[in-house]
Amino acid sequence: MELFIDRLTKQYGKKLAVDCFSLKLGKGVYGLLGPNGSGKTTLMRMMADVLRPTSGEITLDGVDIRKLDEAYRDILGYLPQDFGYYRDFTATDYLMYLSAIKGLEKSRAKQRTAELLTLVGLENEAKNKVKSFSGGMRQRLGIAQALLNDPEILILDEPTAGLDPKERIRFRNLISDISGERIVLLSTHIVSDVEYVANQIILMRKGEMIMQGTVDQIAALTNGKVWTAVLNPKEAEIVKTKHVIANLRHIDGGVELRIVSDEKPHEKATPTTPSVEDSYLYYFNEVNTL
Amino acid sequence: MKSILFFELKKIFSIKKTAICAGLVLLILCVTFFGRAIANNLFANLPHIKEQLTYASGEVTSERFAEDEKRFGEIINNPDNTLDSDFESDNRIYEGIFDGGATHQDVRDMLESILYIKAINDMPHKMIATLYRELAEPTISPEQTLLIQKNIDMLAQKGNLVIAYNLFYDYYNNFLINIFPYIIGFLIIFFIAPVFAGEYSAKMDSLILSSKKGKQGVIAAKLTASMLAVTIIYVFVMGFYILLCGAVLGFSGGESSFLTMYSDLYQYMGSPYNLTMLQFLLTTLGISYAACIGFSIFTLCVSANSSNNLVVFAICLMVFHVPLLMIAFADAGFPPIINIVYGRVAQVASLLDRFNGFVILGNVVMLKEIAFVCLIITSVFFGFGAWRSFKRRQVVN
Repeated sequence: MELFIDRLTKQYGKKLAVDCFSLKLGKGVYGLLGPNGSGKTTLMRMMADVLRPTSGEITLDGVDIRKLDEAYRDILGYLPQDFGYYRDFTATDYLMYLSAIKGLEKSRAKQRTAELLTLVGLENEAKNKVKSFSGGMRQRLGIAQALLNDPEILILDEPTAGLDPKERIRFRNLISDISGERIVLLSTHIVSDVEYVANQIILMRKGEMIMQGTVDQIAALTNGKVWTAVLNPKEAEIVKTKHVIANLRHIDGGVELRIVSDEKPHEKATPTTPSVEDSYLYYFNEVNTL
Repeated sequence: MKSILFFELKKIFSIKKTAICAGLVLLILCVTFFGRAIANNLFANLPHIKEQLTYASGEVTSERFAEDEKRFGEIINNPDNTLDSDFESDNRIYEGIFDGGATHQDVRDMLESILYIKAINDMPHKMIATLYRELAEPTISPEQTLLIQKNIDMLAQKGNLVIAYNLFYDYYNNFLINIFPYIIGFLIIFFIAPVFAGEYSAKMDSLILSSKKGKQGVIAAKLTASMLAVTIIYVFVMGFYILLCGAVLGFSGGESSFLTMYSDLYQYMGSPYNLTMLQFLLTTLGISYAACIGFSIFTLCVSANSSNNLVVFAICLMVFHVPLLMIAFADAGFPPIINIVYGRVAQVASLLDRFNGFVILGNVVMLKEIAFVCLIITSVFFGFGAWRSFKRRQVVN
């Protein structure tokens, strides 16, 4: 199974949200990283067949997904970045309804609903109305609905938004467990979410793909560009104004900095092993939300 | 499909919303019925009305009225006292009756009622005579000739009026014209407007449209659920009122002519149609139901094209209720075409109360037939519009 995004472009007025984006996706987990406004959500909407591209196409094993129509959506699981619920529906109603529109038989829908509520830790909330759920619980319900039809293609837009650290770890493990025979594409601007589970990371900026590679390959992009230094507060202030700071920690009488820079930022700085997050900062030059 | 349909109905009839609405509607219907009944002192007058109408039908001759009846006979059978189509001689005849000293108020009412019925009975002949005079005009166009000829043909088929106690139909007709369209229009908008717009505003569209059946089965289920919902609402409103009327007034009178509405003889006196009350009931139920279905499809189309429930409400309220209010407050000066908008068709009266024909391709077509064809065409058009708009929905925000 191969999903091929071929020169996909989406234009809103004069603004190019996605600009001639091409990518081949085989089985595995893909992490789509990029700052807000980089076009991740627009790309995923087009992949989920809820937004028409201005030009280009997406094919599954050589056939345009729009021609595949129901057959494509039958193997698709999609968690939108911002999704809704019905105020009067319980968690079970919600999943049963979405099972019905995904074409599941009633008995299978009941079974999957129970399984998935347990999988996302909502088994005790099955009869409660979704309107009473916290943001994290709703997000977990959203993840559950994306898995209802046991999809071969799973598109998750900011799946960890609103999840607490424990839930995020549970989610990562879940993705690892189910990723075997599927194409999983998850977008985030939280680097650690994809660092542990993604086989491939795609960096996106202003609608274009700027880099694609494994975790190690992406991390290696900043080989020799990541430094650590323990400085006094005054020196640290000066370095902060000139370089991208990946981390800052106050220690006895000084400040320990992790700096991303092409050149040695301070005479006391020593090179260190880079991570994906360092590369993210290097390319996007912005402090990440951890 | 069945499962989706079940959930679509569940979304339309959410428990709290439906319970509040049903309670309010029942209250309004009871207030409507009993308000009118109390205002007309119905419960005290009911035996008198029954007596009056059965007397008018010729079934009963009351000994109590023997003396007045004799005097009444002299008045009513006097050719000089025949009412003309404009009831211009009302006062003269009233004076004849009252100055004659009818001893009972109910006898006066009876005389008045019978005089009107007699006038309406005579009206087709007078109208035919008038129409023949118009036909003889040298300036008359071929189209006008066709229309007048059709009108004459229809009027000629009307026999003598059958009169009976039919207050149930009278109350039904009054409800159909004055209350029903406003209630049903509002209920359709209230329940149907969110069918598509609610999905957009709840941000459920991306989940639905990315699902296997999101672009076919869900839309079909939504349209079907909406039609079922409108049917349930229609049956609930109309059924409750009909049962209420029937329980209090009885269902008798179905065989009488629909021109003999007890309290509103004027409403259909110029109608060219020849229907019994029962036929009238069934016809009007069919027409108003068709209008409700047509309007609900229009509402669905608007709903599929807007993510703002309030905008959908406003547009649909304007389309349905504004023509009704315009006519209610200024019943003149509007072209006949206004009578084929949804609200007016749901009200039905304007399609049956007079000769409203048009010449199309050399044939005379009645307004109710035009309204029916328009309903079908617009329903197909708006239904397709709703389907296409939701299917092609672009999830942008």
